[in-house]
Amino acid sequence: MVPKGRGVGGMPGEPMKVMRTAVFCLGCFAVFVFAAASTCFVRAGVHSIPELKSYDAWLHVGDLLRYSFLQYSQANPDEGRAALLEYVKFLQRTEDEHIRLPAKFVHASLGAAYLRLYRLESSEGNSTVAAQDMASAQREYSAAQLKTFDISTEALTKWIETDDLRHTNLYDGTAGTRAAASNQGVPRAASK
Amino acid sequence: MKKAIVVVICAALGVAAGFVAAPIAAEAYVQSAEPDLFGAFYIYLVDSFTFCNCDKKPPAEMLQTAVKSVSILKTLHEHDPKSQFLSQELALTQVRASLLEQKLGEEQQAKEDMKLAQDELSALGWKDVSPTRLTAIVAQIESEYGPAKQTTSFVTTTR
Repeated sequence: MVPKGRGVGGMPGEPMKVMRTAVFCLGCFAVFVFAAASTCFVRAGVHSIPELKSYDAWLHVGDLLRYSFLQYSQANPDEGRAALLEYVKFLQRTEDEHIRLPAKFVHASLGAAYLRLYRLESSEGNSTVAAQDMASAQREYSAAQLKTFDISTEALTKWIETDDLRHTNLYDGTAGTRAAASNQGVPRAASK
Repeated sequence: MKKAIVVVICAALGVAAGFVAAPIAAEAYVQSAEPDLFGAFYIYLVDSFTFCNCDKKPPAEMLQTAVKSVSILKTLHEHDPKSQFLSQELALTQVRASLLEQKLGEEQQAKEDMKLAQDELSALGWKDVSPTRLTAIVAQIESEYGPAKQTTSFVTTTR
């Protein structure tokens, strides 16, 4: 019988004991690393990354909204179109990549952006593209499911004209300065 | 038995460490994989510090912030020179700096900054880059970043 803690044949078991302890410590470290990595992976993937992307996307939407509106209202039509399309592209990206933003908000923002493109194309005489933009706007507002929002061409045209005028006045300083522009282009019901 | 307890403790410590490290890892991941999204956060901070005088700082201090913001935006723009969004941000921040310089009596610097902003915005296709128009636009942006900003409630609900 080999005494406990001794090597085979009764050799002093000190090196063996040290080795066992080292292996055990290594095993414990491996368990720690595995548990940490898997928890980090799961938490980051399920919670932290989507939350961070959602928060950053929300900030970027705000930035792009102001940028596109200012380009649309202050710059020439080509620059306005480019900025609005950049804004549309980013909103679509949030949908494609399942970035968590309220669906109503995204659809209504897309709707408003398409309506501005509609106005821009109409003023440039591009009636075919304008009609496509209006159809896209109606599709987005329909998807937004705004119960009290009329999405007929006439109603949307009138609404975007009023909304543009309101915000242009704000940026021109003719309507006082209020924080309302942070909600520009989004019907009241969508921002709730 | 003792060994089993030690292993369980190691696993529990690992879970705790992973839980704490996840937000940091997520930040690093988003920074490398989605630089434009991550940049939005910085730009929001820059805008907030530049356009919101939430702490009621004196104009000289606000000017320092605006000058720093211009420098940050210039660096970001150098990394992405094609970005018209950054060009506009930079120009409007220069307008803000110019207005503060005017307030502090630094007329020459104010004129230079306003000129830079006007050139930048003209290049972006803006039709009217008069100081009056740009001042009105910056005043509106300041009001958007004011303490009563309405978007806060939305941000809170998404988090």
